[in-house]
Amino acid sequence: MNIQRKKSFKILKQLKNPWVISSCLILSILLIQACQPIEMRQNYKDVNTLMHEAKNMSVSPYLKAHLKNGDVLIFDGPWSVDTVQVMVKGEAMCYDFNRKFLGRNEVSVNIDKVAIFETNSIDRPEKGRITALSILAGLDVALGIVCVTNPKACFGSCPTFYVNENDNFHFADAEGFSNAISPSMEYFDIDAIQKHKISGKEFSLTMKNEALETHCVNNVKLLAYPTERNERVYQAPNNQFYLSDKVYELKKAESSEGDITDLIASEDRKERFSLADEKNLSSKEEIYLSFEKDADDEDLGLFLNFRQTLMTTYFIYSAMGYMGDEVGDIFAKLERDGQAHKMLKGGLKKELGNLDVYVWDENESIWVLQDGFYETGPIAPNRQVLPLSTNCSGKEVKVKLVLNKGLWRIDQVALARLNKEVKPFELNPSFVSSEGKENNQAKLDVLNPERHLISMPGNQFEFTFEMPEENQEYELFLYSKGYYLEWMRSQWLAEKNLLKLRQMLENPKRYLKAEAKAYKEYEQTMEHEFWNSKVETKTYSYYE
Amino acid sequence: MLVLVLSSCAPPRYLDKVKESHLSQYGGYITLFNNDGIKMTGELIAVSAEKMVLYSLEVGECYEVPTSSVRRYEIIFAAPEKYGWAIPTSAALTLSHGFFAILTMPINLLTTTIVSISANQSTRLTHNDLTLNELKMYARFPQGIPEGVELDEIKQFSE
Repeated sequence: MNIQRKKSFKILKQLKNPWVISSCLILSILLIQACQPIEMRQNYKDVNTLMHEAKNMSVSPYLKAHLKNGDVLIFDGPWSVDTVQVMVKGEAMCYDFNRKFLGRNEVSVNIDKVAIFETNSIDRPEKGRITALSILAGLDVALGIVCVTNPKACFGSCPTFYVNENDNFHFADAEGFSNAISPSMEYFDIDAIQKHKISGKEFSLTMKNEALETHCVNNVKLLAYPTERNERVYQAPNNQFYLSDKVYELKKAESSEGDITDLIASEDRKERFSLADEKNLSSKEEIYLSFEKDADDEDLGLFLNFRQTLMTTYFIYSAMGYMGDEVGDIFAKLERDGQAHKMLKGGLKKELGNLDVYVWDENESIWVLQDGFYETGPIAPNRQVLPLSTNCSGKEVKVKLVLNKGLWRIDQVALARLNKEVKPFELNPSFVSSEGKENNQAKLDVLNPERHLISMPGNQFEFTFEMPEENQEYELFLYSKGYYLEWMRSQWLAEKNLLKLRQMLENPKRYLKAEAKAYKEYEQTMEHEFWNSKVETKTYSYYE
Repeated sequence: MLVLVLSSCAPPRYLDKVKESHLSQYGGYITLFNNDGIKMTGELIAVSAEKMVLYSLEVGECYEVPTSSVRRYEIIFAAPEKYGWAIPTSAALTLSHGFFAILTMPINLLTTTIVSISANQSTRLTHNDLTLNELKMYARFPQGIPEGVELDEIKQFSE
């Protein structure tokens, strides 16, 4: 009985799922359309009824006059009834009683010779079925484009973290360990999640698995630093943190497309990005920036709000596709040989390069390389600062960014005065819940360095942290450590190409040239589809 | 399986497609079973209260069947549109849906199968849909056998 009740409850729960509801709705519309019947024939023995009915027909009807001798006249064009001469007139196809074709003639037939009239208004009899198939094909193609050209739109990516749990992945606040696609690649990742005024003592973050991946989360921590009103804390690419109390806005920015100052001067989700080179995916481009600062400010950092386009996602999925049905064997070999790290660092990543920052040295009249930004992942924006090592004693600071074409999206660039290096508090989650209930096992998993919290597609965990002080503004950062296992898709099996995989790993330079044409086709629709789509993911459970 | 079922119910060639069926000069294709379970098929020539006349395409002759002996009948008045191709095509399309194929493939299979079956059924009417009086409309001679025309004179002339 209990089992029955549980089953009924599960079914009811499923019925509340928006996917189930919308699927049922679409299916119902399609089936109603598909099952529309075809109108039947109508016969009229007297001409008055025929004329009356014919006038009410929206589509001009054909007319069949069955003559008393068995012949039939089929009027398939205009016809009329001459009530004075009691005749039916028009152009008709004439057949004898054996249905031998007698010709197509202008005929006038006396109504007395007609035994019965037959007519009907057939207006696109297959309309319903064609509509159903068209709707279905339209939905299939649309979803196909979204999924094939842009797998992230369907499957999301690595763990995504949200301050507001109801946000979708377009508004993710952080994404964890995007590069860790196998156990040996596990690493920690720190993402800025902005300044927040915490009114109570608790702060919560929701972690979602919106991908067809198994997420193995070793640790989740909150890094917090209390700030005053005008202060900000920025993370550098080497994971050091700097307190800043002044930000200089961008004065001018120029790239190959012209003046882009307005586009990247403020954080407004209007991002500057370029399209990849159609002949070589590792072609570079330059952006020139200039800032005006107080002459005596010398400890400066370039602040960048950036993320990647979907280019690296394309490479990850392509690599999996090239492995085809040997994906498990290849990953196992990479794990055993310890080659996974080398593969990631030395191959494509090296060829694509960092988002390099150069500063103009007035004394030497040369551009001096400072360092570079690099964060994998197209979803959550990264907010980082790169301390400038070149002395900028004058009022004007000139900066050059050298970046791979089509790889980066930049929302904001600014110059920050760096007051000092600081160390944020590290806070472990005090409470972990999933599906609205406390989940102690999950908490133990993320607190124990020997264990992993396993998050399956559709899973969602809420981490609550206890802040040191109430009603305090904090600059917050998320620390997440782990790895994820990408699920193989059936459609990728057909793309198996071990030679291509070898080229990708061993000769990335050549691969990036050879793959340019295929990527450009993907790029055409991908970005648009991605940023205009939102698809839910079915829930799986590792523990049940 | 579905293809076999659909192809086994293939209508005779003389029937026009649905969109041209209103211009057909022939009667519908009737299948009837008498009280002894014997099946008869052919073009429906005429129907009266006492008898049905059908023209057997195999034999090339007309037969009279007393209506009292007819247990059930089914008439195809036009060749249905064929949508069988849509079943594998749309199923193949869902392969590009990745995970969502779990949901979209059954929807596609169900919809296209129903479209196929409903199209196939859309030009079929049975004794449950039509009374004998209504069945007349689908005969070559809805007015009955014309005066002066003998049954053995009736043929099916095809160009």
